[in-house]
Amino acid sequence: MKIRALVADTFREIYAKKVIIGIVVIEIVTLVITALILFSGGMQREYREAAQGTNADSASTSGQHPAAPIGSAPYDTSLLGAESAPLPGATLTDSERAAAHAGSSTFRDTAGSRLPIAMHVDGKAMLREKVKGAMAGYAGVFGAISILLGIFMAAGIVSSMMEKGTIDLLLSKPLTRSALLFGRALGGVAAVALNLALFVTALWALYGFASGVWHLPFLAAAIALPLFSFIVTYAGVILLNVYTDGWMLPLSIAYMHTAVLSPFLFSREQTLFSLVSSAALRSVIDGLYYVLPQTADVIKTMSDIIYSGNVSNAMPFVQGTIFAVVCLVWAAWKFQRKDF
Amino acid sequence: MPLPGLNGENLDELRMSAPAINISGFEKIYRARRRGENDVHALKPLTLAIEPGEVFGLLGPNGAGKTTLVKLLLGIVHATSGSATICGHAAGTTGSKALIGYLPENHRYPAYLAGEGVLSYFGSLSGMETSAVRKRSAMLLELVNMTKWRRTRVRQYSKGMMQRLGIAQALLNDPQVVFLDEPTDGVDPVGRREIRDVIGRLRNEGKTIFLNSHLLSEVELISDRVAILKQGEMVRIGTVRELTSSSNAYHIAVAADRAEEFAEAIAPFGPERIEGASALITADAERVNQAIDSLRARGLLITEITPARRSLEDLFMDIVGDNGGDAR
Ligand SMILES: Nc1ncnc2c1ncn2[C@@H]1O[C@H](COP(=O)(O)OP(=O)(O)O)[C@@H](O)[C@H]1O
Ligand SMILES: [Mg+2]
Repeated sequence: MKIRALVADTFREIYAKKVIIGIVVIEIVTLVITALILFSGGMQREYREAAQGTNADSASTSGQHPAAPIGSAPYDTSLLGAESAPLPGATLTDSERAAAHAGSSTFRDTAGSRLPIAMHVDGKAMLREKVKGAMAGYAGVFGAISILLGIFMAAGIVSSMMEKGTIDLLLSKPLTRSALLFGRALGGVAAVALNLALFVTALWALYGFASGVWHLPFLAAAIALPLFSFIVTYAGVILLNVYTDGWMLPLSIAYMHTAVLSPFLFSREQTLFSLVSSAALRSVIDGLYYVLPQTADVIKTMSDIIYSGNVSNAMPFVQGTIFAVVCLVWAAWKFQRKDF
Repeated sequence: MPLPGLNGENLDELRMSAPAINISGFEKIYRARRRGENDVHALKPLTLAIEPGEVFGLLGPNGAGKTTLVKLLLGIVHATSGSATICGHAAGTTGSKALIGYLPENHRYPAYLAGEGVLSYFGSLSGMETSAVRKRSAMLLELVNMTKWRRTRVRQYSKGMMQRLGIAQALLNDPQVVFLDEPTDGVDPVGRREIRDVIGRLRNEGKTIFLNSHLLSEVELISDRVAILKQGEMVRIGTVRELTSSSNAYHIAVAADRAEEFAEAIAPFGPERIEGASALITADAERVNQAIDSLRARGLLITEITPARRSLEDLFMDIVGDNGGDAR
């Protein structure tokens, strides 16, 4: 009851702030742009053609693709996977093309009804591959961005609770200090989770309507994994909140880490190690990689799950859970000892 | 913390008869956080018991350590040494917090909530049922005269309105002990009067009230007992009557037409001041009687002899002295 009130109030506090409007606007603009691209004539033609791309030639092409959307870069910038998309339509006959165009503007209406069964199945699989590749690449980008937005939403939650005049009253209530700290944190996570879930669901629906591919692993992974990374990073933010009594420094550090440090640490063998030759320095870099949240690894894994359905690397989750637990226990210990 | 040999029932009895607030050797030193800062000895070891139903006023200039004492009792800051209980529960535990209400100094509420929302939020944080909160907040908003502002967001409240809402909030869970830190701060005279009336009603209901203030008249008017804190040290404690009557000062007056003779006769007794045919002398009863004999021997007609009463303000100024800060 008490915790529920605390969580609910935190939730309300986040959604009562003006910055939430900015975040929602960014998300809506992103959705609109995505919709414009997905429903554009060119994109729609590509989807149609992918689904029909089954003949002798395309069988050989399908062997080499769809091009794996995830390169060595953790955040794939091929936004919609468009440039990596093959153009199997080149192998279609004119009559097949005409048949496809005769259907409604979205491909799914024509797929089942007009194509022979064998072609249909094969074409559908190909379309799936293509859309999955695009989703995996896109999720890599907005996954990272939604972690940053989440931190922006929640970074002030613990520090605003510790303001003079607010904390005094909260501490006079019959709640333990840990309940207070974790209740606030939980409210922050809940608010971010709701926002992320709505955004990803909208995106998933856009892809579904545009391509006819309703890919559930995208819905699940693109919500759960960025949320996981957000929680891990947020645990670190909370620890810094408690130590610094503010949100500016924790927010800046979290941003630096998520946007810059983590991708570099992830690809340290290709990037950082080419800059330093000292073995000692290299082991420091390695150490940082193993201690700090492996956000880039999680994002990469998310893309893999969306594309192939496999959890390519479980380590970031174990490491992240440990990091979060350590940060939260430490933060609770410090919070317990503080004078206000 | 049940004691051995006590079952729940006698434990409750023990709690009933125990002081509402029992402080033993509470001390607080704020450690310097940065180099160049000094530790602040905000509260020197203090022992004090406050009885159930008592209105206790803690006086002292700004920075004397009043707020620190209240925060120690609520577990908002940790004691450097010593301990305290509230209604038998160790101070700072959830058990003791369930029994108290608190109006912090300069409190802030979530600005996006209306008065009513603030009460329901803090009510549920106290573990109250929603229906109970609703009933009680309607009653309390009426008590503090805030009913017509209950749907207005607190960001639009004046200082005085915040203070009234704060008092309603402090009483929400029907507490045994109420801590009010500067309750009339920023409130206009009419509002002060109303707040005093509220405190009077609480006293009649048998609540224990711990009142912090740097405003003497406030405390003087409503407190059963008063303590004066100076630089973290409790320098006086007692009822307002005890503190203001000083046992060895007397007012003596004679018939007005013999002022000159009176001045002459009283001079050997070292009067503090002489005004016409009356004087204030500092002396014990024996010496006062000698003075009477001496006056009577000259045939002066004594018209008045009373133990002198100093105002609390005089006493406060004496104690707090020159470095009294902005004490009034
Ligand atoms: N959190 C704190 N850290 C360091 N010093 C403090 C803190 N709170 C209060 N003090 C110092 O302790 C002394 C007593 O303050 P306080 O209890 O607020 O006095 P009062 O309520 O009587 O005005 C002051 O010198 C004040 O500066
Ligand atoms: Mg104070």
